[in-house]
Amino acid sequence: MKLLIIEDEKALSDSIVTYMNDNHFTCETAYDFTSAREKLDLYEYTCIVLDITLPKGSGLQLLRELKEAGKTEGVLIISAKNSLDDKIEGLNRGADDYLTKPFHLAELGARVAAIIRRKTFGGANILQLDKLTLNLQERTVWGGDGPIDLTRKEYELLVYFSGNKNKVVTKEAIAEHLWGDNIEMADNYDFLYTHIKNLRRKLIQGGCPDYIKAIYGMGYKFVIEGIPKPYA
Amino acid sequence: MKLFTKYTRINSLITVTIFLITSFTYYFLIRHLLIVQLDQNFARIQNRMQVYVDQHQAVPGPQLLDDLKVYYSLTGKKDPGPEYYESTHFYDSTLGKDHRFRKYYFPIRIKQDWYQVTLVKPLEGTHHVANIVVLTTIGVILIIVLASYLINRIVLKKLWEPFYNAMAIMRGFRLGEKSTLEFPETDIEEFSIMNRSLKDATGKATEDYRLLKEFTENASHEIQTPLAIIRSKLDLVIQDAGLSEHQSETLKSAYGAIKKISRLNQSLLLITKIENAQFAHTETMELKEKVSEKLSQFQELWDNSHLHVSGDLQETPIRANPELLDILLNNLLSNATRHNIPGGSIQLRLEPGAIHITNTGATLPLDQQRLFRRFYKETPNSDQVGLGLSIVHQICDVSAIRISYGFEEEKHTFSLFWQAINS
Repeated sequence: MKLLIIEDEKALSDSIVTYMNDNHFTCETAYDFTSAREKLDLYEYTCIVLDITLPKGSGLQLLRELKEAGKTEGVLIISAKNSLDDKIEGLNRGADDYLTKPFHLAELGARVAAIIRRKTFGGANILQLDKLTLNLQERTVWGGDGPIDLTRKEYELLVYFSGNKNKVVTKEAIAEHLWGDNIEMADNYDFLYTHIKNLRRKLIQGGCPDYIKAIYGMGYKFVIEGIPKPYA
Repeated sequence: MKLFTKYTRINSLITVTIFLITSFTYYFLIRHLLIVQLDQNFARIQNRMQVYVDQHQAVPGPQLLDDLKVYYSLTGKKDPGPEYYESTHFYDSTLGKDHRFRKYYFPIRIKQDWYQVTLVKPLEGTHHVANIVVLTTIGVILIIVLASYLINRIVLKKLWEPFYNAMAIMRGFRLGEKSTLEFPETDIEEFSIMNRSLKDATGKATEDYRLLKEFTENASHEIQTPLAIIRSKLDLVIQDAGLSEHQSETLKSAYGAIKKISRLNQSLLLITKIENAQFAHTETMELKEKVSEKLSQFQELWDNSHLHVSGDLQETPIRANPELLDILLNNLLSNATRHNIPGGSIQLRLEPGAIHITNTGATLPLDQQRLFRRFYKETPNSDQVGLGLSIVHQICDVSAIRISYGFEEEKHTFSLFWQAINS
């Protein structure tokens, strides 16, 4: 699966590429409007990460051209502007999702994964994660020993991890994903710990290996296929 | 025109008019009086003539009928007698009136003898003229005093009207409002100058303020990208399996700092947007629904912090921007949660046109004066940026909601009041 990262800040673009480049994704980059347009003309991508403010043009313009050309790539807008109007405009023009800078790479991973799932499998989609089977439409989970009953938050947590396999994800990023940015919490992620603990227990009871590893002081890692690939 | 010129013009106009009117009045009054006096003289002469005719049965000589009476008396002295004037009066029984006279005594020498001459002339005419002059003058003075009083009351008020108008407009001036101030035209030079200066000054202030806001907004936007880079790099660093405990701790504080900056930045942007009236769209919502929604969102957090939350919610509609209302409730509930004590409580009371959020917390009341100021913090080293209540205040401001804070029985209460809508 190919991703195109259209982002003029090379440093940020590099981070995204490094994070997303694993078994499933091949990332290409474009740093300005013209090169982005060329690449979009020439190649097909599974998903496009699009910055709105670009040198020599606007990301929204690219989005319009893409839709006019009848392309079906999923588009995730990343923008420094956090305003409802911008979001609505982006989504109205055919973007699939909108993420405001500064974001957690894990959040980007989860959103891209979600877009790809929607685009690739169409309606009824089944996500296979090692021994786990997720029915994303019915929001049900099966382990090796049959169905696993998860709460809404635990389910969301699992889907979030599925978009960030073998990656260390901070507690902060998880909390922001599950509870949103609006509820300002004290630096106390105890309530997150409870959810993780329960999910972990339920997965093991459901006949799965212990996928969720706690990384000291930092966060968690959803490990599949034994040892994760070392980072380049 | 100068204010003084205008005032003088009005004042002179009125004074000159009064004097013109009084001059005419004088003229006609005195003329009338003299004629009346003359007529009375005629009556007296006729009366005297009648008396003479009755006594002598003949026509009297002309001098007899004259008002002027002349008496001569021989003094029998070698020196001339004194010369003096005298006012006197006597009662005329034929006319039934008290008459005033003026007498003039003077000596006159005929051959060797000195005579005392006495001229007697009635005073009636002059006396009446004097009376009229005095009365009319007093009247004129009264009219002038009354006129200046009215000038001061009405004209001055009218003259200063542009000034008071300008002051009223200035009172309504608020930085950050988009429209420039419009002062009504005036032909008074001083007020024109004042209005121009006020317009220039407020225009300049508004423009500077706009530039400052633009700067804040741009700066905030520019900060987002480097922040995104730092955060993404940290996200990559933690993927490294070989991190020591010490390194993890260091990264954790770096994460914390980034979170704080990014939150601060978002708050500043939000404030700028509210000031720029980018949330002008409003709709009427049922607040009870919104609050219930929020309660379920916060429930988990409260359970975890062992806070007892009770709510007494009545239905009440509110007109506001939905996004802002959401932020408002979020900030107030977050505050009530964050500044609470373990095992404390939060009470919500929603009634028509008002909501009260009461929570346990610090045992001392918050500083009423500084509470809603930006970067106000209860404790200086707090992890919070101190913009939450400032944002709440700003939202209330633009949504026509009144906010108040109270401290009673060691409980903090924030109350919002708004004009109840009949739905």
